[in-house]
Amino acid sequence: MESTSNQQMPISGPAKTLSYLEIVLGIVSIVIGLSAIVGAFVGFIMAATGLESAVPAFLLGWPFQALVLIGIGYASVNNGRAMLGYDTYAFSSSFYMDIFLIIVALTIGPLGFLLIGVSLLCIILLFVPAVKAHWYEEFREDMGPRTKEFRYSLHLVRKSPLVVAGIIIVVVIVSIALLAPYITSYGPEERTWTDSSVPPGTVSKVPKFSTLTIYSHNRTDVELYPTIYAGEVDVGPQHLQVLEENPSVYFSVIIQDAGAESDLDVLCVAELYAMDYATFNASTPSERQAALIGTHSRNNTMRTDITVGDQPAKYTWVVWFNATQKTSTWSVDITIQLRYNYWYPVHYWGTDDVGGDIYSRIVWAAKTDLRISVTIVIVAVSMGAVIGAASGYYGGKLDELVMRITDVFFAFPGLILAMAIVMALGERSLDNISLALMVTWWPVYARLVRGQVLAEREKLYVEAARSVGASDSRILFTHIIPNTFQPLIVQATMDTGGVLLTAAGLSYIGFGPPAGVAEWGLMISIGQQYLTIAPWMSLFPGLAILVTALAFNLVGDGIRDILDPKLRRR
Amino acid sequence: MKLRDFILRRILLAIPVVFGVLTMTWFLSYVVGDPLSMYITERTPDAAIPGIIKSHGFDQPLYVQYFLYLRNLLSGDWGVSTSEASDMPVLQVISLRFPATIELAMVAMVFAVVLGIPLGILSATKKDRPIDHVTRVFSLAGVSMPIFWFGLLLKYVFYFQLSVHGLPALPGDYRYDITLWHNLVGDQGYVPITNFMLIDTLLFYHSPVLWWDAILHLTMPGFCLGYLTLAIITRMMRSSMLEVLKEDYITLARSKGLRERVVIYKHALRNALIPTVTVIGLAFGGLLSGAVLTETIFSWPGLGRWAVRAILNSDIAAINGFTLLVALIYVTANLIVDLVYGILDPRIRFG
Repeated sequence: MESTSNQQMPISGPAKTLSYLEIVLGIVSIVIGLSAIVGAFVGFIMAATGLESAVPAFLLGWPFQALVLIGIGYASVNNGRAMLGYDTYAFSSSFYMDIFLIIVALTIGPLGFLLIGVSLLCIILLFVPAVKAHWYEEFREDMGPRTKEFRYSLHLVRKSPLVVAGIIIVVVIVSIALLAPYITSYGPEERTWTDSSVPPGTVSKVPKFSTLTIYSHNRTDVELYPTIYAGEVDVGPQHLQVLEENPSVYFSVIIQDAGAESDLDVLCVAELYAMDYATFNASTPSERQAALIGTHSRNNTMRTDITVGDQPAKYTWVVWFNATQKTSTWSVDITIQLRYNYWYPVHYWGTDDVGGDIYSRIVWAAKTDLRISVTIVIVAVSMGAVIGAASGYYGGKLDELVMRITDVFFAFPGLILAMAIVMALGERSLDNISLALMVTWWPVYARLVRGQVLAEREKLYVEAARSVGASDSRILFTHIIPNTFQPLIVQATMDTGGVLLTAAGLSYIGFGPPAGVAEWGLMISIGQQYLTIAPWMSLFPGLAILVTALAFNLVGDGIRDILDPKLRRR
Repeated sequence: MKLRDFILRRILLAIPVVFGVLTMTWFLSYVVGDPLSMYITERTPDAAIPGIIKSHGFDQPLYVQYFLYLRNLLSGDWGVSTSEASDMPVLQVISLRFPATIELAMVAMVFAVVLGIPLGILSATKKDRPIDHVTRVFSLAGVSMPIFWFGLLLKYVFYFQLSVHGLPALPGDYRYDITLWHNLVGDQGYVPITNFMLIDTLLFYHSPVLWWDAILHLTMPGFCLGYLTLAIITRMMRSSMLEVLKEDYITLARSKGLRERVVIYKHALRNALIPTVTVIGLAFGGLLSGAVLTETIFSWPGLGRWAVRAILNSDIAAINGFTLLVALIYVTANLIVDLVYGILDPRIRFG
């Protein structure tokens, strides 16, 4: 579009690859976004008609990010096409878009990693020397005055201990959320009933262990038994690394009547011998008897384990049946497992009333809470930025209307509006809380962006762009909105903390997910009932909220001070 | 622009907002439930129902219903709330519960102002020293504090732990001690007159003991609610103070040899207070609606708790009533702040 950025130079090599990659990335984002929206729609209809949902789980639960994805995808396709036409603006624009896409993709689960991978590849390609030559010089020249300013800001950030602390905490919390499966001993909804309401630091009464399935036999067809099953268990050094308790062989034998007989009477016996399978087969019954280290017998269904020694060795397991009613037809389901590496996890921050480990649940909830607050802010920012920019740019009646609507939203008590929206949506869940908060939060950004756009609209560079015939939407999206980013980012960072607090508050009052889901507000709400006997149940989730919100506020507040020309030190 | 025109313009601008809120509540009442339930409850006799439908126009087309809805609200017929022990007109519930919320908000505001302004000044005058960092973290913690958790924490420490150890504890529930009232006043207990505990106990019951009891009951919820506002005021005070301290007249005052105390308290503080006062005015509206969570934790018989219960019960009349009240307060507070500002600072009027 701009004459300055249109040069008659053939685009080739990696740059061409990059352009096509951008187009592909855009198309993929649009496809994923569309399928998520269609998926949400189909899921909604199926739920309404009482059908089992046939939509894969990874497509559900992020309809709002899907909308943003479609927007980014569209921009990406445009960028790719513009790059083919050699538009330097497109290169820097796709650089920003890729970064934004990565942030959005972080909130949408497994599919997001595909997008993150491709966008990272794009960013790397952008900085490959052959491609860099196309755009970077001009970009740096454009950004020249700003780069200097930016460097100075960075210098101030480094000198401000509070901002540095905030950034470190945010990074730590985000990595904790991403690493949740590796740093917790329990799952988000796992319970250890025998450990209910134990104080912080208690060692669990129930050990955790790794399992290796040695034999599994699941016969549903009707067959006449008895039969003898036998096999070998090889306990190697890799199974003896953690020895808080010796490894054991676990027998699960489930006998079911496959016919009409209801008074099934089958004796099943499990035995473990301290000899390998070959020796076992070659031995006499008395020799076998001498090597027997454990046996269990029960009628019909048996679950038992037999402990073995702490040295590497080979064992033979045997399962056999003695059916008194030879005529009966029955089927059997046998699972033999080696259970090893027994260890007793510590409940670092205690457990809740039903034996859920508080520490693990808080770490898992970090994922949930960060995800919804970032989602809400992203969608509200996108919505608000578009509405506010249009309102400020076109002015007149549209502006007046939008401003009156935002006034109404400001006058409305936010928490009550959010609650009412959740009630109107019917189901109390985190998704509905997100939707409600998106609806209540966008006016803040609409106002902010409108003010910025009003200030930018009259500037010389906009006039210049207009005079070379750039379209309104191009001026708005490639020239004006990038210049309103700074205050928007500060506001969004600070609001992430506020949104987190509000979402947790809604969940605390009872508008969130059902009991049992790992979510900070809900954990406090349940802990409240046990405040006098188990204060740790609500203490730690609250600390988690406080620290997270504080970190976002520290960063936002610090950056605002640094960017504020009035407070800037010279 | 003349002052009169300015005031008129501001008032006219507030009208569409109020209408917007009215329209939105009307819309919400259709989305959340059935607007009929605003006037007809389970306890309404069957015979009266057709009359109510007719008199409130629920048999009319939607757009007529909208205007009838506005008419009813403007004429003071805000429907019947079912969230109280017995069905009660919304305006009556508000008149009963509003004083409790106002009293709480007042105490919270006192905490916020009394602590916030000195902290802000301290932070600004000792900029970038350790005391400034501590104050900033303290005030940022207020913005980042989940208020429901803070309330629980206060209750646990100052009510539960203190009473477990046999120390005098702060009460953490309700507005007054019911047994104390029974012992001192008699079986009928507290009969609201103005419904402001602090006024009633002194003027009508003439009992300092009851007054002190009311104060004690106000302390924890008041501080809990006030912490957020305290944080906002401290931050505002700090940044406006910093701005003022850069002005030329401060340099002049210093260079003519005035003592630092005089410079700060006489020259800087007065000018720095203007934006802070604005924030205080706006925060008061926020306190009233922000009481929702605090009142829930401290079983405070105010509007916030009623609103939560109303939403959980889909009590549309109550939700609408609460929303309208908060919106009106917000608009009025905004208006007053605008006007005061316009009177104080002529640049705004002409800008």
